[in-house]
Amino acid sequence: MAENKIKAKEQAFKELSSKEKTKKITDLLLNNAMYIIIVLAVIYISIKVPAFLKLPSIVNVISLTAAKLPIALGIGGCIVLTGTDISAGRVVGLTACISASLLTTTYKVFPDMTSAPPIIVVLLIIIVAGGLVGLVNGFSVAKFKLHPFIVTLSTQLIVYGIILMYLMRGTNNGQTLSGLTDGYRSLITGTLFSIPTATGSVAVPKYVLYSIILVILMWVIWNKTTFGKNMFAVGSNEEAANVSGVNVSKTIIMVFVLAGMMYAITGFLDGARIASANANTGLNYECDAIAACVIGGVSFVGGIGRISGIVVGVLLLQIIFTGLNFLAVDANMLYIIKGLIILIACAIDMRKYLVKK
Amino acid sequence: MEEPNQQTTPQLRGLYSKVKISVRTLNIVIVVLIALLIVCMAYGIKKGGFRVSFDTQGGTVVESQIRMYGELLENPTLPTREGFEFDGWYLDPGGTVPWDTDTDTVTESMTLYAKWKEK
Amino acid sequence: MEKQTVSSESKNVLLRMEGICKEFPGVKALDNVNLTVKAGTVHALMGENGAGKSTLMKCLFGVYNKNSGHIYFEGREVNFKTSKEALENGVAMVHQELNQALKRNVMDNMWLGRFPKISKWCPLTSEKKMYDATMKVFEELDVHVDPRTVMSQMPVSQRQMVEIAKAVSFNSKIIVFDEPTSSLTEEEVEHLFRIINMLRDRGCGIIYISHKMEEILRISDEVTIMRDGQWVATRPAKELTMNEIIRLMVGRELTNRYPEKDNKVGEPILQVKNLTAQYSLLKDVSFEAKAGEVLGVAGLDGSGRTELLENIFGIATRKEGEIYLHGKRVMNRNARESLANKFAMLTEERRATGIFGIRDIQANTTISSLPKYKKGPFLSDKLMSESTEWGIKAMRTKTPSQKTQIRSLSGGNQQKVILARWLLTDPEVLLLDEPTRGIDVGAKYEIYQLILDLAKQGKTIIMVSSEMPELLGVCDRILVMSGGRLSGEVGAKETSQEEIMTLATKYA
Repeated sequence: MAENKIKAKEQAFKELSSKEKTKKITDLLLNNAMYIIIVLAVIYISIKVPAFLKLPSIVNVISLTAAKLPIALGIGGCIVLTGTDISAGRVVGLTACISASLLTTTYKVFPDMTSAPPIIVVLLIIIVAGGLVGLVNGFSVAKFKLHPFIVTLSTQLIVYGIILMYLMRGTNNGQTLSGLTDGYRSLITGTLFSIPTATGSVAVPKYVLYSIILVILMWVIWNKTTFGKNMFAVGSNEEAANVSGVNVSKTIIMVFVLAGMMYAITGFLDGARIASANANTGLNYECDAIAACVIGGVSFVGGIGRISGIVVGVLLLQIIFTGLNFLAVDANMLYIIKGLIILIACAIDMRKYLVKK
Repeated sequence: MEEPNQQTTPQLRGLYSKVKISVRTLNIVIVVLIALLIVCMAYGIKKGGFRVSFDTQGGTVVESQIRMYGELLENPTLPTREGFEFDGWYLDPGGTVPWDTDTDTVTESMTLYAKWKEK
Repeated sequence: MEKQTVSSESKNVLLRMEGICKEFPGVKALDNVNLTVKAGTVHALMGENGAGKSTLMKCLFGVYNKNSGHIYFEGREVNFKTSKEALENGVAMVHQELNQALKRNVMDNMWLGRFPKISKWCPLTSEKKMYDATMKVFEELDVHVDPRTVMSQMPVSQRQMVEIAKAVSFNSKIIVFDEPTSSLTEEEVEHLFRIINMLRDRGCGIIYISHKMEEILRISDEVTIMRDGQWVATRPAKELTMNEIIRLMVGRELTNRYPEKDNKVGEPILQVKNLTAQYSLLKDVSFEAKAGEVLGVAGLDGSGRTELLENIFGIATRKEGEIYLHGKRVMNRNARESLANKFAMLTEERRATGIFGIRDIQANTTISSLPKYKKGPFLSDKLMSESTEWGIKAMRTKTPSQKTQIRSLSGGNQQKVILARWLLTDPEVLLLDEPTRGIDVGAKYEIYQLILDLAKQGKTIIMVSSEMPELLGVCDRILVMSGGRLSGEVGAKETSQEEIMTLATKYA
């Protein structure tokens, strides 16, 4: 079947005039330019630094992808609504700081504390905190019809202020929080399973599993629930959704709240993963997440996007940046490259929907 | 001619709702941006290398080094400080995460801090 | 009043449009239309909604490119590319909906894009020159407005005067007025007419588009009537009567075929009492609708037909009024509530408020009835695709598959998908706003058949349409709206297009 289809396509292609052929090829090349660049870069890097394709490096890429997935899954929903969320990174920072301050052995932020609260309580606290920020975002977007960019720009600042004040509490005096409890660290970074290699074994951390669970959860929410269907409807045509009996405001608010919770979980994972948290934890995470979503085909046109696309987007972005790190590219240059990648991804995304008139 | 403004605009919504750009121009933009990206990557790779700086925290100055990914540090000249004894390089100023110059490999730009012991 | 220029000497002809044709995909919007405007006359352009008046004007101003035909202005052939070019050549238009920078003052709006400079060498704009020039034009037109007033603080009538003054300041020879009196009081209308008369006496050619017959008969010298994109007649206004105009406007033969009407009208189930809208002109509308009945709503554009449906369905804000279904009061405060109360509404703007263009047929079909497909907390793909399949079959929608994007379908098939969406909510009252707009003739017939089938199942259908033959062919009773009020109710069998048109212009 598949072969026949390919042959039929070949046949159809041969019948086109040369001008149309050029056009088809240009379309194909440009619409997939991002993937082509990344594949070429990976080939180049693996020739230059063979270690890049070795198991430890691959496990490293997968772990980092898993760490950055939840935030992208959250932002994906906002982009489906034709919006965006630039408060994401700061929410990650806030929740990481809360986790690190409670699940600690040094009690710097809360000097009166004598033992760390149960992990589940902390997890609930930060999910509520993330959800609250999402609620503020969603409410302003849904009820005041403010552009998500403006709303999340201001909440981002507010959250940053809260982080700074929080870190000044107690005897901490704004310093980096560390000294996390072993329970917390092992829950997140503990070994899920080890892959034996010639020179020892490579451990896959537990948070990879949590990320996979979140991906499945989000897939179900996006594809199998009324809320998910409503989200896509609101994203593709808000007016029509309203007429069709969709509660538009509620849907928008829920998308942002869900996103906030996802950021909170990212913060929870990140605190333990990095083994410390400070005011700069989570900085610029939203840029990576937005770029990953756009590369993964979640379009700013609205109403388009798949969970699988987001996973692929995060993975590709992680591969290229790990690769560039192997080539010892300066971190400052990486920012410029990241910016360019976002621009190109948006331009290609726009091109796809300009052509399909 | 097609009827203008009716066929395209309602479908191009979201952040692109005001976009009035031809595919041709967009192609050029994309190609230029890709070229820029490749130039940046090439430059970054050519100039590649992580800068490892040393903060001696009051001791004599130690020159920074440029290393590639996965390389060991060239054994830096040890700093000295009046009345103190050098107690190794650490990743944090507080001196809790040690850096072993014989086994630890460089994976990013960083600063190493000296730790001092009173004589 | 002596009209010295009604003679038909060709040198007096200012503007001649000959054999203008314009096609949109699937529709012939203009078919060989002629229009001749002489200097020093007011030429009225009349026709029903969709007769092609505004399309013709858009061709003149270069908003649309005409497919064929010629436009001669002062003897030269012209082909304006933009309305700015037309304006610079002396052809201006005063729009029905004013496009003005409301936060700027009067002068800024008058001289936008051509601000006078202080001098040749000083590129700064000169407030004083602007003020003086504005005052000069205002004095000519007998308008008493301070050029420094901010636009948004002035009533619509004055803003319209500014627009006219702008046209005059360009020394326009042809000025098109598109429904200029729709938001004016009687006094303001008098002032407008004085200005129009003055412009005419100065030798301008005025094209006056309006639905209001009394005005037309009063102010115009000649009347051109259009119908279905075709030129029907051009007559001196003196020879015309209101009845004559109506006859010419609606004198279309019932060419469309309609399915046989075999629905049985039952008991009244829906009562609407004193419905008045908060933010639109809809006022004090009361009617009853029966089970199994197709109730038509006729009226001109802007007569409040769409607003009536929107208010019943709760997507527009109601000021007062009550709705009863089966004798029980229903609130219908928003679409969700109306849905629960078994109402359904097909909106007029299919692209803007109907379809989810980039979503597939299944998503478009099931969006309003999602709770039906729940199995536990999750939606069942199987149930959804079964319902979609039913929708496609029942509506005879032509689509490659359920997973096709709806925007790749034709207008008629899109409409069928939306109808299926609503039928899956199992409604009792269906509100259809222009269900056949932008649909080709064959598909229209199918939609009519669907509507009558639904009526046969005992559903109440309220259908708004601009096409009178359609209303006469499909409906049992027809409500006629005019100026936001109900101006009459007629039986579809007993009435005629002329009677409806007369009612539709009652309060206009």
